Amino acid sequence: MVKKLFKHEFYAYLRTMLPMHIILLGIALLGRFVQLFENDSTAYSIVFVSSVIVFIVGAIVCTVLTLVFGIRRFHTNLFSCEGYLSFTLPVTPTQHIWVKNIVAVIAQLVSLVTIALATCVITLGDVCNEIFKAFFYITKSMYAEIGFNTTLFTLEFIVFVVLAIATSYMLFYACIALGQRAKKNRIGAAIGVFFIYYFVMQILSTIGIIILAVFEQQLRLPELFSYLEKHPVTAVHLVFGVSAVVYVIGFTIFYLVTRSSIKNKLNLE
Amino acid sequence: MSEILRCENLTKKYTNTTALNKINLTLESGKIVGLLGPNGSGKTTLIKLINGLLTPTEGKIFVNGKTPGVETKCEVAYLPDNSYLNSWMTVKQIIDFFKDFYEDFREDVAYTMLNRLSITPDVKLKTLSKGNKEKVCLILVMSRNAKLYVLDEPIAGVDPAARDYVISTIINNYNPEATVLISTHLISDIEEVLDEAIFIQNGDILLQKSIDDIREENGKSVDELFREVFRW
Repeated sequence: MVKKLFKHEFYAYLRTMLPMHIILLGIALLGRFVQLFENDSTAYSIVFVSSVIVFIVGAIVCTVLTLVFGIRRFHTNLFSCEGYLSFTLPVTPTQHIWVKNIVAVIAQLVSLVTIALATCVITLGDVCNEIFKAFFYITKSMYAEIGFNTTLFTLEFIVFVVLAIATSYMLFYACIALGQRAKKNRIGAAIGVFFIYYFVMQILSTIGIIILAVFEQQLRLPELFSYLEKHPVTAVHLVFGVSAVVYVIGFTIFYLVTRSSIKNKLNLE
Repeated sequence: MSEILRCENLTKKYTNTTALNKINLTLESGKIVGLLGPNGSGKTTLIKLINGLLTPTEGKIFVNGKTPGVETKCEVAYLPDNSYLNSWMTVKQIIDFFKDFYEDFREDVAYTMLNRLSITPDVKLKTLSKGNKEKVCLILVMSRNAKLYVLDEPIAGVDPAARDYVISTIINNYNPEATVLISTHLISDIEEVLDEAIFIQNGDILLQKSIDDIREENGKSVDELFREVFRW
């Protein structure tokens, strides 16, 4: 059943996302085509700047729409009228949540890859070569000077991005699932839950910073910072490691809230 | 006949309302049962509980001996009282969807019924009229070889000719060993096809009897008895 859920979920994304990605690549190709006519005229400058602006806006729209589609898909497919079909399929709420989250993360990653690919297309030639050269030069120098392992860093970065995207979606799912417990204006309630969460998190982080500042000697923070200053590679690993743990904890909490709401408090309109 | 549905002290409370109040109910296989009651009597709540769309506040519910879950969803075919299909899908895509998820789905039966209505498989659901959309929903549900069909207000809001179509589709396509539970308040239209009636009001079961017993004991049709019981 999970395979079938994946199949239909991917199809739902594909029919919306594929045209968007094709359009973005088309814009990039058109932008590159414009550059073939490079000259000093004002007309060229206007067309060139316009093509770059359209490309940047297209890339932003691609990312934002993928995020919005992922959130909307979760809400529409599970909590609107479509929920009557989704929740009467022989599938558990756990399977619904996981499939929706995994496909949303993959769609977001595909969007990022498309944007990177489109950037390569629009900068194809000297600019693209220079970007790659600069990237390899920086990573090579960092390895030579402080023993920075690019492969490990890249892997850590990918894990970080995947966890960040998955946790963000799960946060939205939890807000939607809690919002649907309201009697009226459930979307409004979900937005309310989201803002309350951020407000509470801001207060908690401020309290956390105050505690760290007050007890910095007892917690031996100056020693830690001085050690990390001397060992920047360790600092990077530590940042990724701590972030990963925080994301996993957040993901687990949001997942449990979502699952519990669907399992025990489902009430379709 | 085996038991397909059992409710034991089943209670569902919302914040300030008790939608179902400790109801006890048993349905046997092979019958067409009318779940009859005025608006707000608890019909849809009971149907949602059967389908696992709500969890009971108290008491238990068993579908074919199991609490609602993945297994019972394979055995229950449910028609909600609103349009619940992805409107961007074509009729063929939604049939493939049902075929993928329900092993008991009879594709040939679905296409035969669609053909009779002259609905082409490539047409998108959003381009269909409200009436045809409802008929497609009914066709999908009745194309399953389920053990329990739960139909929530299948004839509400449709013209008399369409009502006849809905009723004949139900009668001609359901699995004879299965039970069909039809919720409605338009009793005169379905009375002829019912084997049993359940009267529900304010979350309480007022009556559960066979249609023959109702007629014999009260000397009235189910419709007449309903009007008497639920008179304002």
